[in-house]
Amino acid sequence: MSDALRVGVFVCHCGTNIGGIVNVPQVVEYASTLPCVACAQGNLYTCSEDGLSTIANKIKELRLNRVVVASCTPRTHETLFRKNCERAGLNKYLFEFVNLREHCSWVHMDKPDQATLKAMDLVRMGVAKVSLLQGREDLSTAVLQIALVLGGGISGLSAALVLGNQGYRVELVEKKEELGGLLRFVNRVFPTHQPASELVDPLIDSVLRHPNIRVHLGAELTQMKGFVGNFEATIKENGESRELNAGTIIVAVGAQAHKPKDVFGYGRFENVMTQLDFEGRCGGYDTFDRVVMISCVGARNEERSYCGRFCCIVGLKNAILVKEANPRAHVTILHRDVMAVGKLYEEYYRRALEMGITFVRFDKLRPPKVKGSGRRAEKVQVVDALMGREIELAADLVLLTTPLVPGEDNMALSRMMKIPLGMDGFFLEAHQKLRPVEFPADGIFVAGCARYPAEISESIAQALAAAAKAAVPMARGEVVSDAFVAEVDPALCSACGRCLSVCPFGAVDWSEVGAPGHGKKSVAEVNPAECKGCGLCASSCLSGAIRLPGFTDEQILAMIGTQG
Amino acid sequence: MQPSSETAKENAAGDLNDRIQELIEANHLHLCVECGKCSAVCPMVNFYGEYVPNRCTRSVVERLRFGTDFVDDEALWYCWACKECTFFCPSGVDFQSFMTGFRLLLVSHGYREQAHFCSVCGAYLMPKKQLECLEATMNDKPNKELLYECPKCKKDKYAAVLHSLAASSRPSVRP
Repeated sequence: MSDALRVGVFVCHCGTNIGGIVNVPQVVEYASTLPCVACAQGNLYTCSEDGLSTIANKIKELRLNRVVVASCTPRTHETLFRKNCERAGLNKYLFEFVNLREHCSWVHMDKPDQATLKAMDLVRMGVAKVSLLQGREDLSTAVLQIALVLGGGISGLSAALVLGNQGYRVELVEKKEELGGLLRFVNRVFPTHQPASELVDPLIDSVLRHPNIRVHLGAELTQMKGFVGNFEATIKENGESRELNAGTIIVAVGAQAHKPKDVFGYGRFENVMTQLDFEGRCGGYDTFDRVVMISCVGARNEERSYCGRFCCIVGLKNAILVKEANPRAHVTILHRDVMAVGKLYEEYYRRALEMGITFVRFDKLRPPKVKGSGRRAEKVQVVDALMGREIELAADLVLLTTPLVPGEDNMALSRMMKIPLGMDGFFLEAHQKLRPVEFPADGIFVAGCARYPAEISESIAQALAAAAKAAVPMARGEVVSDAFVAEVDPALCSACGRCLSVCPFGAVDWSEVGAPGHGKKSVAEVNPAECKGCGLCASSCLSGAIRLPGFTDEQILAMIGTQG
Repeated sequence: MQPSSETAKENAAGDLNDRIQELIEANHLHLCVECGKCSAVCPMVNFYGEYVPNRCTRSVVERLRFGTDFVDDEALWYCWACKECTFFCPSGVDFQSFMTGFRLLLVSHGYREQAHFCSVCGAYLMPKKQLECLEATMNDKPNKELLYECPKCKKDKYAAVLHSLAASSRPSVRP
């Protein structure tokens, strides 16, 4: 047989999802009349073992060189059908998916006749496009088996340790001179009241002794190049620049405790402090008789709309510790809502209630006032929202419960590594629900408070999740990426830079090419290992220099051109 | 030596405060999580236009926790002890028992202006507010006097009548 096009069209009933609305036999009959179609048939479930083997058999039997499947959704099933083609000896990029369920039967449930007509149109367009597809090979990039962990707090330590234990080399970069992060300043942890050092010291010890982990203290990231498999980071360690290579990166840079400015006498009175300041004193819980805590200082307001998630529980913890050390102490928590969500935290809140810690609700618009003389705060006035009357509480200690806020370096890191920041200044994951520890760019992961205020167990869970995700490409030793990646024609590129600014994955960069008669010129270049084939660059290119195989102008125009 | 009347007053106030705190403790009022269910289900809102949020169930507790200078407030006598709030409380606060105990405590400490007493034996019967409402809503005018006596006195008064009524309605036993 010759190289003439032989297209196989397989239309799926998808049970009743498609077959219940679209007249599938009619669509199949129509498909068989289309040019170059060698066979057309319907299946009850094309994704079933039976359906897949039918396609494979037809490919072999009729020597099909193009396949169109019209069924449910490419999101879950395109890979499956492509693999099936590959198994039958057909290049997997000679396959086209027609989305009959989501683009047709589900949206036109009430108009079956017109849905059938639309299904025919869609199949015809699929056949027109598949004829223009070219066979391609997947791209493979080698992955260095080294992980770069940014941040030596509980998240970074946990991630580094588990990756080290799995046999990967780890470069742990910590900005401060000491490992341990924020937990170094925490006295005891809720709800067990275990000293924080008991949790973090063994971790630090194991990381420092680990043969696979190299720790860089007092080091800052200054430059980042490369992509998954081969990142090139430059760090400044003790004033010296160093190059580090890594296959994957885990961003665990953490957050910082909010220090309020000019509110509630903070800074003016020596006995007004944040919860973290108080804990840093290491003890002295029994030296206070009248403690007033103010919650939501710098949280859930116009400037910072988010809730710190566990600051309330930190307040409860210190209230309980004060009350335990000195049962005669009056402890009052002024709050806007008590947020004690989490395993055993509701019980912890109840324990505080049972111990006689007083909770007073105040309104956001009528915040408490801290009054005092000299350097000492003496009393707190607050309008109790429930009784609508101002009360006055004597205080020899005022604690401000503040949330965690994004690290100062987040913006610089985000620019350097081309990873996004959310509105609140924390790093933004690829998908809030489905990809919580990943970034859109491959090979970079996020864990702990860098993403959002996370307590210890959550930080560790995220660190382990990020480590597991980072280990995948390192274990495989290579990353295989889809062959449908953008390509730049250097002769057409006018170097306007639009593609660089629209690419969400940072895959486009400048490169120097020789230009006849002009010496050298800069043009855009797409790194195939980083490109996800989204097509933003191709559609924004003013010169038509960027094409995306699988969605080229010719293919799209062919689809449109077949419109009856 | 007789203590001065000022000191006696202070002692009485101190005693009342202590007893209120005991009542708060005994009925778990400190376990309140401020969810607002008690105030949401309180039927008193329908009766008193002025029963605004800051005079709600929870507010009563809140005020008593910070001192007794509210004990002469009329709003403390609004509650009818219907137990809706106690039934719906997720935290186990027994507000009804607290209110009942609290009223007796107030009466025994001389705060009698808002209370209505049995016209026969003089025992505390209900808040005056409640009486006013019942008077206004009771259509059966001749029986209004039933409102002024406590259940025990009513029973004593009508026991003979009730007994004879009960006896006459009994089917006579034929030999």
